Amino acid sequence: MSKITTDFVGNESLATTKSRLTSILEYWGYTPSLYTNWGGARTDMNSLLGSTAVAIIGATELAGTFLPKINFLNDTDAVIINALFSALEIGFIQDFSDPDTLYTDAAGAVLLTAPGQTIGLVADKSRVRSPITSYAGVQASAGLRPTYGRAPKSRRNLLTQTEFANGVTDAQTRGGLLGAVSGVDFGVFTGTGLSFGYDGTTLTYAYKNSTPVNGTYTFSVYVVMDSGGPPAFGSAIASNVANDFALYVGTTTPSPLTYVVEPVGGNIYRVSCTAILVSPTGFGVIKYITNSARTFSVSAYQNELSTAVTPYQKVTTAFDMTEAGVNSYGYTRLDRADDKLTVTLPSSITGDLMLFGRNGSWLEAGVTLPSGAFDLGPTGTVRTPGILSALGDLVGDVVIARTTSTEERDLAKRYFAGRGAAGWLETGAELLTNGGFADGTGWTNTSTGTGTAVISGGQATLTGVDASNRGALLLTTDVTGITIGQPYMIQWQIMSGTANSQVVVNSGGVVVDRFGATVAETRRAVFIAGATTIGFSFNVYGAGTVVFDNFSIKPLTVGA
Amino acid sequence: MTSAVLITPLNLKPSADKVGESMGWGPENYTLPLSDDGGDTLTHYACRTDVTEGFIEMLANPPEIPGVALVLSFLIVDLSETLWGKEHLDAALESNNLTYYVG
Repeated sequence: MSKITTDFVGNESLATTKSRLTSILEYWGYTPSLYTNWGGARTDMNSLLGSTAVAIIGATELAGTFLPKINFLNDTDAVIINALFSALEIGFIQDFSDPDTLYTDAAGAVLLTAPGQTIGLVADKSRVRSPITSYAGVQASAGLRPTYGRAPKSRRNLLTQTEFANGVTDAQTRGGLLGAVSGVDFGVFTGTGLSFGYDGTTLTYAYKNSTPVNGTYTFSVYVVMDSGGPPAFGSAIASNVANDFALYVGTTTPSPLTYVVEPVGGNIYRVSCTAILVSPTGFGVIKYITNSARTFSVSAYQNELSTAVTPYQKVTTAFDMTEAGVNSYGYTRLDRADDKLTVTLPSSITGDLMLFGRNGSWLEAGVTLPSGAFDLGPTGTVRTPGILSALGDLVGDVVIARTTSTEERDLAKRYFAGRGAAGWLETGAELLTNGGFADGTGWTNTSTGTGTAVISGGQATLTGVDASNRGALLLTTDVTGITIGQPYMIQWQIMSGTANSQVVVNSGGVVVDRFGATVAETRRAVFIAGATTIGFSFNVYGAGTVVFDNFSIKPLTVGA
Repeated sequence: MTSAVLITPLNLKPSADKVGESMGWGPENYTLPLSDDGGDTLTHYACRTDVTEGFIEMLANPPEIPGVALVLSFLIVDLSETLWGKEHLDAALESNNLTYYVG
């Protein structure tokens, strides 16, 4: 807010002020030409503000009055990010949190209406465009479209179809006297769930399958006993008659005496259990033939990596999570295989690219983007291979043909953070020893045929001929102490040379950055560690010599 | 939701894209270059997408579109209910002895 106000004071030229007013009014739905006088702008502003007396801009008020008033009535953050483009810079804002800018077709004719739909066009939000395809991210091929989803900022429930909308089939592992119910008041969203019968001879169970990731889990269910009252858990032995049922948590049934039974209202109870698990395979409810005869219904399964139960989050599909009393925010999920959205830039630009994801945000400063296709996808114009895997689901991005200030970048981050994005990804401590090639320590020459690799003068010079005659160096000892699931960035410099080359990272999976004829530059790639070690090598497999220097491996963590 | 990795031989890519376009999928869906010799030779193209039960039924009873029989006869279809996105693609490539073409 203070930044916007400042924009309208001082010795700003009339032309600049007109440009700012035009840009802002465009954002709020007008397509004005530059105003020639204050009265025309004021008329449009007042029509946008409506008839609220307090909001009307008087003839003697300053132009800047419009901003606090429309901010008051509308969305402050939206004005802030739009102001990045107040000089009508080339570029665009893609805001996947706003379904009003998302279309299921590439022409921008059919608005997206529900989570799980794919995005054929995301309109530019920096201003009103005509036609809508101008500066829009477009995907004409159905198989390459990313998917729209929504979720609260905090995503905790690891399960899907948590209320069994499709009946018993939503329990991947099941058996016995299981039935689908609807219209039951579970105190949660839809009233669908599963009924557990009892005949004294049939084991009945309903589990959700789980990925085998170690951790401390809390599993919870909502229960309505057919006879009313709370469920009873009177024995540490899960199958004992003193228990009405048991929770299956990971790979076993912990003592029911450890369960937390929380009254939700009426005859509704939430039952939860926390356990430290190794390679969990499923979570659910089981009723043994030796349990009590009481029958019941369950719904609202929640499994979370936490030490205590948290408010329930309803999950239908992998793209739709909601929580009572909490806003859900839109995002897009690219499959990191071939999904992409393409913006056609009318000319080459140099400026900043900002990506805002649910797991982190990323800045590519001072990049030059060529005229033509800008691809938001696993390959293409985004300059750091693998970065999308570290960002998670995308909330938005900004491309602008100028270098933005730190304050402007943080304002953009604030806008998207308010819609679910995490903070900037920051690099941690260096993990690599002798990445600067002070000598040959730590490197093994793995050249093949007539290829060569020489470490000298603080650089590594690799010469190759073809794929069978490579100049190659291998890190002798893998980097250790790596955290599985954490993003890491590898960076290096090409000092000179133009031959086809590649850098290969291995951490529970192979990441390759292969590049051909290039100029002296700094390159980098991001990968998610799949093992507790990182091994890597690099080689020149084409004809020519390339000089490398300053290899670096650092963890990426979410900062402010 | 069913994730699908569809892989066509290089020489059938134009036909596969035409069949896809005829079915309303848009102009070019097979965009991932693949290799059957470790990455040096371009031999296949892939598409990773989500499909419906209708699509799976269509594979068994294809519509009368020119070239569809030929395309389907060589199309590798890898379906998964548990893997999605790049993870599914990587698994499908491994099970079919294919790698990314990086030539």
